[in-house]
Amino acid sequence: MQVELNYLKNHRAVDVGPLLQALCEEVEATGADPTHLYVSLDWVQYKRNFRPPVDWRCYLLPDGSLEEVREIAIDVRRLPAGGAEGLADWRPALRQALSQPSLGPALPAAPAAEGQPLYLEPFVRPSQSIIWAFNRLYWQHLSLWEAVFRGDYLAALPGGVSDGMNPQFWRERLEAFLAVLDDLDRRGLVPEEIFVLELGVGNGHQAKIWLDTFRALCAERGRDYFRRVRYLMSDYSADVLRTARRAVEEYGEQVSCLSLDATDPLHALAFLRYKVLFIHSCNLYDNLPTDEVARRNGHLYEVQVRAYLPAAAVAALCATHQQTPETLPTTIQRLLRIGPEYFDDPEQGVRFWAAVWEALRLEERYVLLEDAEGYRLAPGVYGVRLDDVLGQFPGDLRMHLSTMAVQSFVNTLPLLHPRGMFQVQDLFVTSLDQYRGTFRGPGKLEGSIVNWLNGPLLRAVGDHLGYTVHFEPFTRYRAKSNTVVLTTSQKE
Amino acid sequence: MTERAVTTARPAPALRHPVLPTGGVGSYSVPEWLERVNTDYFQRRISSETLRAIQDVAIKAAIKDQELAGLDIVTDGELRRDNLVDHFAVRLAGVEIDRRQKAYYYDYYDAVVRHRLPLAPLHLEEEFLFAKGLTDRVVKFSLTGPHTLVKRIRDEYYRDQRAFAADLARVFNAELKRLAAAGATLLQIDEPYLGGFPEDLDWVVDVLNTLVDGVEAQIALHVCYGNRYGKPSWEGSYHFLFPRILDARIDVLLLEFARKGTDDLALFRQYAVPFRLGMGVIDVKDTRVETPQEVAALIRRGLEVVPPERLWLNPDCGLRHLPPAVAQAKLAALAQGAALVRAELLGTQP
Repeated sequence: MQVELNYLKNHRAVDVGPLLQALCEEVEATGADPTHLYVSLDWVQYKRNFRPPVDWRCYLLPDGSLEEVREIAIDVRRLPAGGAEGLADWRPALRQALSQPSLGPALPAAPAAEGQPLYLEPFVRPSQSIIWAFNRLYWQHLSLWEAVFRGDYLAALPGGVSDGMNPQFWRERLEAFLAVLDDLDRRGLVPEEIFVLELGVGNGHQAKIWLDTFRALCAERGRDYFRRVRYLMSDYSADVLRTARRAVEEYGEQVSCLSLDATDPLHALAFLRYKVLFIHSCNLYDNLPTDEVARRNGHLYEVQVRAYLPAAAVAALCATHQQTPETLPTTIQRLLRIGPEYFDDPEQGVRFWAAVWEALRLEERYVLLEDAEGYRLAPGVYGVRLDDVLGQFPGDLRMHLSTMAVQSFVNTLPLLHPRGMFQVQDLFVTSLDQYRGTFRGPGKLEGSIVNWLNGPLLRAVGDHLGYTVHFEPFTRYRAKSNTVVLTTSQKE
Repeated sequence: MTERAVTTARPAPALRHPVLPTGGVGSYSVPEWLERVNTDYFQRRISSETLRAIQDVAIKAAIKDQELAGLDIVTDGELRRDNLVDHFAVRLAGVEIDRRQKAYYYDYYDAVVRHRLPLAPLHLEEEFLFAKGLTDRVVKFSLTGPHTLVKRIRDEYYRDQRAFAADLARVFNAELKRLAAAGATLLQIDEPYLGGFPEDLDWVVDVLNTLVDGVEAQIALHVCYGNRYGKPSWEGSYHFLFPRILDARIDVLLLEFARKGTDDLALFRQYAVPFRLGMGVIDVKDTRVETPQEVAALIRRGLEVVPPERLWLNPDCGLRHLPPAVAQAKLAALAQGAALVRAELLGTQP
C-alpha cells in the first residue's frame, strides 16, 4: 500500500493514524490486494467541491482493460472527529471503495435505478465535462443568481475582496506602464490609440480603478496619454458586461465592451495584433476548463471524469423540485441549454440549479497515456511537451494542465505590442512541488469552478513563444493573499 | 519627388529571372522535430555529425518545397542556423563563447569580443555550395549584418559599436568576396535590429558600404521589425531609413509591407530610389495563408510606386516560425500572386 500525504494546510497537523488503521482493517476484511493500493490523502479546502469524503479511482489501459492498481482518495478535512470511533460512519464507504469490482454502472440509457447515482455524462476529459456548462450558466445568469441569493460574487472570495482592486498595486503597475509609454514617446512611437484589453471584467470595478488611476497619473505627470486610451472590456457573458459597463459609465466612448471567447481573443481582435499596449485579467484563468494528468510509478495517465448526482441527492431533488428520476436528466439538460427561464418561475429555476450544483460530484479514473510524447497540452500549443515540464520533476505527481488558460495565453500574446505589458492576477502553482502539498482544485465558488493554475507549464509555453514568464506573490499588497501575479517580458 | 544623385553601382552580375521575381527572405520553416533535434545537439545528446546529416536532408526538402511553390530565387532555409547571431558568432575568429551548451537551441550564447577581430574566413561558402548543388534556381545566401551582431555580441575591446561594426564589416567583406568567388550571385545582409535603433542609421550605412565594397554579386539588404519567436521586436515606420539609406551601395532593399500595411510605399514615390524594392507581400507572423488574389492586390499597390523591372517579391521576413505546411502554402500563394500580376503586365494567361 502506497500512501500519498497531500494534506498540508497551513502546516496544521492532522492525525490520520486512526484512519490508516481503519483502512488496513478494511483491506484485510475485504481481501483487497494492498500491494496494488494507492491511497491519496488530500485536504480539499473548498467546502463545496465535487468529491465525496471517500472516493476511489481505477486505472485503465488504453484498450479499456483494468490495471490491478486502484486508488482510494480521502478528504482529510472531512475526517470525522472522535478518532477510531468517529470513523465508524466512514467504514461502509471505505469498504465499498476497496471492493468496488468494476467501473461502476455504464451511463444508463434509462433513469437511475433507486439507490443508484444518476450519471450525467460518460467519462470525458475534465475540460469537456458538463460541470463547465454549469460554470458558464453561472456567468451568463449571474445577476439572477445574485438576486435570488442576495449575494455578491466578491463576498465569496477568500477575504471577501478581489486583489484586482488594490490601489497600491495598480498605482505601481501603471507607473511602470507610464515609463514604457515615456520610452516609446522619446522615439516618437506612442501610437495614436493606446489599446488596453481586460479579459473577464467581473463587476467593472477593476476597469474603473485602472482608468481612475491612469487618468490621475497622467494628470500628475503632465502626460497626454489618457485621452488616447481605448479600454476594451471583454467577457463571454453579456450579463456580466452589462453590469460592468455601468461602473465605468463616466468614461463614455473611451470604453468598449466586447463579448468574446476568453480562450481566443485573437479571433475577435485580429485587427489589434501586436497593437495592445496593456493586457490584464484577474481571476479569469482559474475559472477556465482544465484537464489533469497523473504520473504513477513512472507511467503517465490522463484523468477522466464523469459527473453524477449521488442517489440521496437524486431523491432529495425529486422531492423538493417536483421531479421524478425519469424527468430529472432532461430538466437538467434544459436548464443548461435555456437557463433558469426554462422554469415558469425563474427564481425557482435558480433554486433548482443551485441544488443540483451543490450535489454534483465527479467520478474519476486514470487512463494510461500510450503516446505521452505526442500529447498536445492544449489546442494551438506546439513545441512544448509534457516531459518538458515533468522531466525535471521525478516521482508521483498529479497536476492540472490549465488547458483553456494555456490556450487563452497563447491566443492573447499575439495581441501584445512589442513593448506592451501583460499581467494575470490569479491562483498559480509556481513550482510543481506545490501540487504535492495541497489540493489544487476543482472547487466550487458560488456557482463557478476554481482550479489553481499550472505556473511551470505556462512558463514553458511562454518561453517557447519568446516570453519570459515571471511570478510575483501578491502578499506584498495583501498579507494573506493567495494571488500570484504573472507578467511577461520579451526574451532576447 | 526629392532629387538625389544615384549612388555608383558595384560590379554586380545580372541575374536571370522573370519580371517580378519571387523569393524567400532567408529562413524556412523549422518543424518541431527539427527544433528538438537542434536542442538535442546543444544538450550534447547527439553529435555534430548526426546533426549535420539531418540538416542536409532538411535543406534538401526545404529547397524542394520552394521549387514546388514556384519561387524564382531559393535559399537553404537557413536550416543550419541556431539563430541569426550565434551561427556567425561561433565562426568569427576572435569572438569568444565561454559556455557552449544551451537549454534551447534558439537561445543566444553569451558571446564576447575581447581582442581585435582577425581577418579569418568563416567558411560559409560550404553552406552556399551545398544549396547551390541542389537546384538550378538562383540561390540567395544571407548574412546577419554588423549592426545586429554588435547589438548582441558583448564588446570588451572596441568599446565603440561603430568601430566594432566597421571591423566586422572588414571581416565579412572578405567572406562575401569568397562567396561571390564560389558562385554566389545574390547575397543578402539582414539588419533586423535597425528598426529598434533608428539613431544608428547614419553610421550603419557607412559600415554597409564597407561591407559590400568590391563584392561582385547582387547585394540585398533586409530591414524588418524583427521576427524573433515569430513576433515583432519593435513597431514603427520606415521613414527613419530615408533619405540616408539611399547612400547604401545595395541593389535591392527588402522591406515588410504585408503585416504593417503599405503606407510606407509612399517613400518610394517621394525619393529617387537607386535600388530595387523587395516588397514583403506575405505576412510571416500570421498562420492564415493569403490567397493569390490578396497577394496580387498588394503587388499592384507596389507597382503604383515602383516600375515592374524594379520590383522583387518576397515574404515580410523568414518563415522559420511557421508550420511547414503553412510556410509552403504561403510561398505558393506568393508565386501564384506574382504570376497573376505578371500575366496582367505581359497580357498573357497566368
